[in-house]
Amino acid sequence: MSSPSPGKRRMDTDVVKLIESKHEVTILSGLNEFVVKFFGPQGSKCSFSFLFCLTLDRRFMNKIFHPNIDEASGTVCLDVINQTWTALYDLTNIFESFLPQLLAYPNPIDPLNGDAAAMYLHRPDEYKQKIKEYIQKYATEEALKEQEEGAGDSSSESSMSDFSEDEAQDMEL
Amino acid sequence: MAKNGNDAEIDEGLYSRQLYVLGHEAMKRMQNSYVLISGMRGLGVEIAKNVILGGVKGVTVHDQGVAEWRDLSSQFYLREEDLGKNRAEVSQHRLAELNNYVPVTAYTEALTEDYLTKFQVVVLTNSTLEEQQQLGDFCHNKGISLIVADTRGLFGQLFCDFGDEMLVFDTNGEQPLSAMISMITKVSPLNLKYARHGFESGDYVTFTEVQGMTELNGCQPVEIKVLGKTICETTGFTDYIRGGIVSQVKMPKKISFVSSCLFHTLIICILTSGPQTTTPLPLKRGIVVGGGGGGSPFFKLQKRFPKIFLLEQLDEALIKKLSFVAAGDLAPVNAFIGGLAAQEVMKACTGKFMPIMQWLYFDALECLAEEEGVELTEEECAPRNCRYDGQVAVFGTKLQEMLAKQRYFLVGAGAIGCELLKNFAMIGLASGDGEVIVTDMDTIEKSNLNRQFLFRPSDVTKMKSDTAAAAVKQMNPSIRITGHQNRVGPDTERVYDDDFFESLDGVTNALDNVDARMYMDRRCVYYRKPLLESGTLGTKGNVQVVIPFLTESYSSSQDPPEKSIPICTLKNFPNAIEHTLQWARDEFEGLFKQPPENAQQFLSDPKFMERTLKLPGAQPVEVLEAVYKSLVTDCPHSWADCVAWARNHWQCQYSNNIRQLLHNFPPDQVQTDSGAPFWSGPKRCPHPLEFSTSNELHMDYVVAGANLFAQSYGMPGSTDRAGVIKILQDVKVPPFTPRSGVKIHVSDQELQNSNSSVDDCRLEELKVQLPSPETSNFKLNAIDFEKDDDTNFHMDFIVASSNLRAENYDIPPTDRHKSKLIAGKIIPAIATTTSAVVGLVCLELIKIVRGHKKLESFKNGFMNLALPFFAFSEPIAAPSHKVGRRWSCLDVSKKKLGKHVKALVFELCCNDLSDEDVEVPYVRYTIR
Repeated sequence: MSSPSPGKRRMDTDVVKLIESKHEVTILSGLNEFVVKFFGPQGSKCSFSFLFCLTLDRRFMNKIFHPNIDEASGTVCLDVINQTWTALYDLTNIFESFLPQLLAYPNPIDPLNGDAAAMYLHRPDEYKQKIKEYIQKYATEEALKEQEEGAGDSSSESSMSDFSEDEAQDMEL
Repeated sequence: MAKNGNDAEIDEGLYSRQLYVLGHEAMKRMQNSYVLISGMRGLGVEIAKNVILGGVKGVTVHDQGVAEWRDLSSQFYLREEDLGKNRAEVSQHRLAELNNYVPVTAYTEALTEDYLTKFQVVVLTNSTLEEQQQLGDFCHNKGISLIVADTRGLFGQLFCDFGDEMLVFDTNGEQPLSAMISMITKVSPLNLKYARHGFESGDYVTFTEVQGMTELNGCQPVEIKVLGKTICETTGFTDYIRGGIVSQVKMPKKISFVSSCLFHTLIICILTSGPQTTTPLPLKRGIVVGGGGGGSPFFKLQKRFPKIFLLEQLDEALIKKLSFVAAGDLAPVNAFIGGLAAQEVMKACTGKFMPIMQWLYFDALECLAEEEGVELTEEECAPRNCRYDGQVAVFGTKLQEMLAKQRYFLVGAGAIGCELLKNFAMIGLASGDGEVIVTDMDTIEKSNLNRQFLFRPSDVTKMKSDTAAAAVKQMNPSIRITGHQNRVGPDTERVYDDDFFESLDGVTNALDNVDARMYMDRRCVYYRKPLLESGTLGTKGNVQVVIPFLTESYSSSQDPPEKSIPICTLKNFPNAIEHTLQWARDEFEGLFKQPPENAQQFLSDPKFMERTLKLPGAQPVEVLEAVYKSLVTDCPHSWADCVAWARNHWQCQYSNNIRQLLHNFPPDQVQTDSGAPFWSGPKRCPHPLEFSTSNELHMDYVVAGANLFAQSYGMPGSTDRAGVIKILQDVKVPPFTPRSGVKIHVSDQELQNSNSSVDDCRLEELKVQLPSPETSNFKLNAIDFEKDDDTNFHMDFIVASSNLRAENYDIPPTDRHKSKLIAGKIIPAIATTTSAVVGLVCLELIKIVRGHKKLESFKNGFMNLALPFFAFSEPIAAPSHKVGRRWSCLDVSKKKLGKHVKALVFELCCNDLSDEDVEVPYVRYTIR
């Protein structure tokens, strides 16, 4: 870690800002990869966790049924998400406006998940029912907690990643 | 020896990267041209090297002179034991090794007009003015292309005459543009309305897929003027409905050259690396005189002076400088002019790219002392019968001593690396107490040989750094050079640690990717070492010099990020071959790389299960499902199973999935809000394919897919098509019915019950069903994509799967060659550009070693040999900040530090009073 770069520093500043904001941020490796927990569109009472990685591995960790989100991988078809980070946009914007907006207003004209888009267009009632089901199953506080606990149960020994001990202690910031 | 000729096939393995610059047509024309290169001193050998690597029909090198000490400062194929031998004869066999397809002969008699008629292109270097004029007239009249190239110390010149009438087939080397049409108005004149199309006035275009106004489809190329002027009359045409693609058509351009006897009255193309002053004009005259006098000292120049300079005002000071350096011979200047001249030879043979019309001048006077009036004494520059005489004549002996002591780190021994090493050897870098450390973790491949000229076919698979180091030691045995095989990065900071960097005088990058460049830049900024950065892309090249505290760093400026293809375009709506190729690459990874990798981890890594179960969300089930699929459901037991798998995957991708998409969005679907068809604009409506064993492409896919699938299970494959067809007759392909929806839970109760339990159940099920790793005795191989091996089925699979998908969407298919370029993300490359770029890098190196301090002494360079275009600019000054220094407390992690770490760097995030970010430098805290 001897030779810092200016771009990386701007990115780090952004991450720190994100941590200072109301979002729950879990750092995975350095400041290069982290998971952000953010709330769904206003009044939806659901929350999502999103993996954001400098190397463009960016996706929802919850399973989501949505015309613009791939159900299996959680990848999002939204240009600002899938480009190399530049100083042009602020990370907080992604979690406070871009992603919640997309969740509230899908674009079925350029779908990634064709089944979801077709249902959204042709059978809106079914679609509503379907996302209600998904939210309850994968995106409520309880569901997220359950997942975390489930993960905690399976083993007490830490082998999942290569964090050093002190880093792991500080994981929840 | 293999021969080039009319019917000769192009060796795509060898010429791969160059073919992406020139194209097959131009390569074929080049393979039919004989080239004469006269003068085998430093410049001549550089041109010959590049032309031979390029692959012409034959090259004759001509020289009547013998090797002298002063030649050794730039003629890399002459050695000290060759002194007194004919330069052409000595060079001939070393040049001939460069390319088996190009016969090289030496000619040592006087050049007669009759002799020249054998050649399509004649290059004169080190020639007299009289010779240039006499042979120039003859060549012009006989339709032989002539290039006159010359260098005198820090000056260089180039002259081209390709005849009265020449057809240029491609004036810029750019891909033809195309754009989608959103509207065509039916007026006279026709108006095309589209945003940011990139077309320029004078471009020719044609149309395809226009609905309604079908008269436009496939029309003769029409010239356009941007901003809505007449393109063609459309009033009589049918009404435009929608759609259509407008594509640029490259039209041949006719150009004409003036004979060389007129050249001293022509000023057409002028280049100087200096500031935009009036220097070029007298400079040209100076060179003409120099050419006439043959490396003339000042008095000789004076004598000829009145004969030629009749009209123009002369810059006395400049002529004086010229006269001082003219006796010299510098490898970097020869590399630059030699690269350009060789590209002109290729233009003359092929009509590919715009020639230099007709003069080009170059000087690098900033390499001289920065202070005015500092002149070297005659004593300092006098020849002393050593290999650096040509360089000492320009810079004196003191610089030579400084060069010998330099410790330089060269990162990369590819195309740029090889050229740099050659220049290092010639200028005598690290020829005394110094050292050049070159690192490259790659081995030599066949496609490298076309431009990485230190490598021979017998070196293929050897390490680049070692081979290159050994090769340049032949050129100059006194150069001290060490080869490493390390990739630069955090992993090798134990090798390239504080002591290593602190001992360096500078770093030269010869890298092929931006990440490594940025990394080296950070290291150099941190250790305050000068960095020379360069890169090429086809005929384009750039040079950037980074001097601590003087210029901005490499990372200070950044190119805009590459445009990535939206995921939904890849998955559902491809409209260009780039999209189907990327999709095919993703298929490759998703079929032959990741699944075997995961399955193998499951089998061999006892902690895999534990790790997987901890993944968030539905991932554990998905990963284990995939492992189950690899090990149980899909696991083949015979070659027939592999064929069946490939056949069924074909069905799924090119029929079932398309039918599902059309089920969700029927071809006539209309958008609810706008009323426009769903399938319109960039969204092309697909159609499913019907499998047929008599369709070559379908069979290509099955054979390649089945072989790769077999490989991933370590099973033998087969290329017996008849056998595959036989197997296919018995393959059962399940019928497909589109899904009409996903299961919807009717009541809340039902929903409650379904919550999370489903996934959990399946997970438990999988844990039981998966075979136990201990009892499984087979091994899976993850296949890493390798584009350059034509026998491994990788490109076969990519080409077939991309073109099948293209057929689904009515996108024109692409051949293997172009598919490889796009899917393999190949960077087109040609020896000429590398040579020229590296020449400029080494001129900057000389300035750094001399200790130049002024910003205006350094030059960043940009070029595109195809246009041709050259520009030099002063580097941007390093930013300077004033920051208060007061902070309270630092929180330091308890992470253990390696022994090589001697300092800690603290990044600071600062806000000013109005909460705006403030950029501050890092703080370095030295701990030992």
